[in-house]
Amino acid sequence: MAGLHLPRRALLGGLAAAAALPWLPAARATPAASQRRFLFVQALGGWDLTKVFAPVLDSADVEVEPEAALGLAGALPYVDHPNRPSVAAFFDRWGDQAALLHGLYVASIAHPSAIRLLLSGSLDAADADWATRIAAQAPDDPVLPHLVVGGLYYAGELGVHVGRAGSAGQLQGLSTGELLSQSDQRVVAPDPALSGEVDAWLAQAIASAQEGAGTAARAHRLDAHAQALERAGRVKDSEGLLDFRGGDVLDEQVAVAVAALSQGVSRCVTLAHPRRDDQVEWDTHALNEGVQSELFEDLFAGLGRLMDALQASPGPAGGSLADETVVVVLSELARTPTLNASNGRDHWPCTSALILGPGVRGGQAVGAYNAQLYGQPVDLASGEASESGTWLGPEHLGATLLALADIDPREAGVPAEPIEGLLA
Amino acid sequence: MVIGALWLACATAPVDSASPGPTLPEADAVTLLNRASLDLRGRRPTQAELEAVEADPAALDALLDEMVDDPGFPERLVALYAEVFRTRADRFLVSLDNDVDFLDTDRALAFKHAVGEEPLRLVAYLAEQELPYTELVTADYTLANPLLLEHLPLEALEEGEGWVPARYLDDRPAAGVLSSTGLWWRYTSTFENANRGRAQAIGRILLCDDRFEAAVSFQGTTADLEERVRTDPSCTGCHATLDPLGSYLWGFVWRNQEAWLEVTRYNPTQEGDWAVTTGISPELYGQPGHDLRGLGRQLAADPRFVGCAVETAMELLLNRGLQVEDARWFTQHREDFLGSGLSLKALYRSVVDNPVYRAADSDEDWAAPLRTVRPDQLAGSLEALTGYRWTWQGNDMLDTDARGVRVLIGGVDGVLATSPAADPSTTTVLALERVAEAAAQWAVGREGELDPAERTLFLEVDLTADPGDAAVAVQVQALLLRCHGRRHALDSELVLGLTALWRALADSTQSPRQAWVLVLSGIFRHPDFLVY
Repeated sequence: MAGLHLPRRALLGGLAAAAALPWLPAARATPAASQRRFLFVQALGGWDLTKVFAPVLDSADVEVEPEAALGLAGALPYVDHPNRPSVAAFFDRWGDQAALLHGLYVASIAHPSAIRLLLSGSLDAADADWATRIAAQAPDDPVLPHLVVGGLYYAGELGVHVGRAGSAGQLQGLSTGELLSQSDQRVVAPDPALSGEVDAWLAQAIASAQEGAGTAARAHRLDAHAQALERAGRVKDSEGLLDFRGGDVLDEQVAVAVAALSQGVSRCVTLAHPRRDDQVEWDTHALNEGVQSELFEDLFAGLGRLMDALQASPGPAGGSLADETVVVVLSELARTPTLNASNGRDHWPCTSALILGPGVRGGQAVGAYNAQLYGQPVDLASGEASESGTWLGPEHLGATLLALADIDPREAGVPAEPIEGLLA
Repeated sequence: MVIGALWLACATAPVDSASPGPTLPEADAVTLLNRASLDLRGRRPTQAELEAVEADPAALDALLDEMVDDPGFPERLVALYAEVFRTRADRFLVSLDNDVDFLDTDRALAFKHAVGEEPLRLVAYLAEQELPYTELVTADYTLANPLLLEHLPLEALEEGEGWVPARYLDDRPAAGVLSSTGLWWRYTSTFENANRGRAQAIGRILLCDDRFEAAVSFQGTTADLEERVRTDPSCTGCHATLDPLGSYLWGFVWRNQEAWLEVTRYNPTQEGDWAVTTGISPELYGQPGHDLRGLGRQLAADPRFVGCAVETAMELLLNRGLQVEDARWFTQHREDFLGSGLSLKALYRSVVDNPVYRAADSDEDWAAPLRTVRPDQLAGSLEALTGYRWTWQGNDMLDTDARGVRVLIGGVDGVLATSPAADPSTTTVLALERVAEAAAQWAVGREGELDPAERTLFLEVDLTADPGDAAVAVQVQALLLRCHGRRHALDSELVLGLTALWRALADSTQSPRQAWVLVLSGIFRHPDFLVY
């Protein structure tokens, strides 16, 4: 019965309150890799590398903004621009813990397949995304191993481990029964104690059915049902202390995520920027420059507040949540080096990811772009570009994330080695 | 999808010369009755149907014939094809903000839902009216409900409530779903992207050509990407098809997706804009064309269109992608479809005879995976059994995500969730519990006010009295027959367990009625109600 011990309302009265009340642990614990939690932020649609990630500033083949300049956070280079002060502020504060992973080739320039490939390394519907795979092996059996507050997920054959919060906090209403108040035919949820008796009968009935399942497929389905029923019971037992509400924008999603991670409700949480149901805002085939600039400024301002909230909140392993949580920020595609006739940029197949947190060797860029904005092969041991190195793809991202979670990528069926150079 | 391989294997071969295909033991008639009823009508069979098949398994085939004539069949197709078209989203990229009538959130949600259903309603109409499936891309009408008639440039062609045939008044070429607002609101394009995403959608939905979504290699490239698009076989393989197909669709390119008058109308003056953008003239897989109406005719004449219809029906009912072993039956279903004049009723009736469809549970690779009820089947079954449908402010809570629990309970929104969940998750279980509790409460409340002769579920007991364990067991047995579609013996573990549950609940609440509510909710939450 892990993870339902901390009354969220005592911890967070909202994101601002969390940031204003810094939580100072008596002793900073370094959690084992198997205890690390993960927070994924999806900026789906395809981001423009020239705005932050790829400081290719003097190439005739790459159009950059007039005032773009090289920014350095220690040894970590990025693109600095006066219109995006939050980017510099973020790297100044968190750059020593952050790594930029460059030159990830996603083998598609179509959004649906690119998203699936980046998030799971595969187009096979049976394969789950990285977050769900990591969540499925959570050692403490959280009630919602992979909580999706915004964005996409691919459950594959691990569907029992992933669930959405709902775009209007529906999970909260389901857990308490309050959602039934929204019914044109008037009904009320029964007394929780009575429905608990039904739960107990149902658990026994499923156990009996498992004994006579007949086929492996049916046995698997019944196992999942039993596991989901037990977890749902724990959600209901929390009597509303868990709070899955929150709005559409990133800050509001962060409030849900911080609570879920802090209370051990989830090992992985997925959010979307700028909105929880969005996968188009970053897709700037027209008017790219201004829109992408605003999106990056908003994203990094939000990431800064996210990190503040993580640092201000206790983690289940005893440290601050920032000590226990790996933050992964990604976009399935990038955008072309030059502008099109509509001042937009079209799809580009190699992208970057921002990874920071425990286990990450921060303050560095892993991989590189050339003067045409193509990714370069990488020496996996050092993380440096090398002609004899490995071309990076989603499978390397996945292998590295699994390694950060103390999961052997090979045993998990990922056909790639982790990028050791990114690991602390 | 294996349509290409199957088409090549089967296009010219007579049925009996194809490979024999796999053999699997057939499921019993009651299992098949439940399976087909849920798949074709979206609800469990009636008690009379169950008893007829129990008495004579040979009665099944006649009942299957009736199911495709049931009003539930076209409604079921709306839900099934929503997984294919992926248009039933709660949010579109275009903005409704400039239509003042949509200040009411519930009304805006209902409108968007209707827009997403527009192409699906044409599928349903073709099935209901037994019109040739080619009208999906050639019809000179669409389907519209009162909300669409009010806000889109449409006029009804028939009187009636609900969805009726209608015609656009903005000079758009009539080409079935290709002329619908719903398809192109879901799959938008920009001037620069030149309808490639839309062409990809046409290929996937209507021709089962999903190679555009396959992975391609970009690694190691040092050449200019635009140049590669034109010259590299790994790029031209798709772009040579996508780019000219996209050239048919310029009348639906909206320069300002915030402008209500623009996104609700077709612009015929833009039809030739391909000439000043890509410079690539309209073609369907190498066959030159002219306009959207012509594209519809080209698609209807393309053998892959009929093959894709068959493949789609098979995949939807078999609950898996096609395999080479399916070749023989693919041919059979195609022959049945063609022989019927391209009737969807005939096609689906044919697929229900597929031995893989009719097989008992199996772990064999070619067997159909276990089926889990989709939200529409859950809602339909509960409504048929109890009279309860979870709606709020008129919106179906199992068919929306903005307010409801469609994706949380395992369904598809077509954007963030494109395939239904197979395994139950924590959210599935919670959502199922709540809708089960609501339906059970509604049923007990309603039947408690009826004369016993008018009841449909509680025929064996007085809901206000303790009838004794023997009578409770008889009533439980009857409920299981109606709700799970299977008769359990009075001394079976399930009947005894539910009887004991009723006793415990009645004792603790001193309310037989409340005990029945909770027992019925338990029956609805049992795996046998979910998996079929």
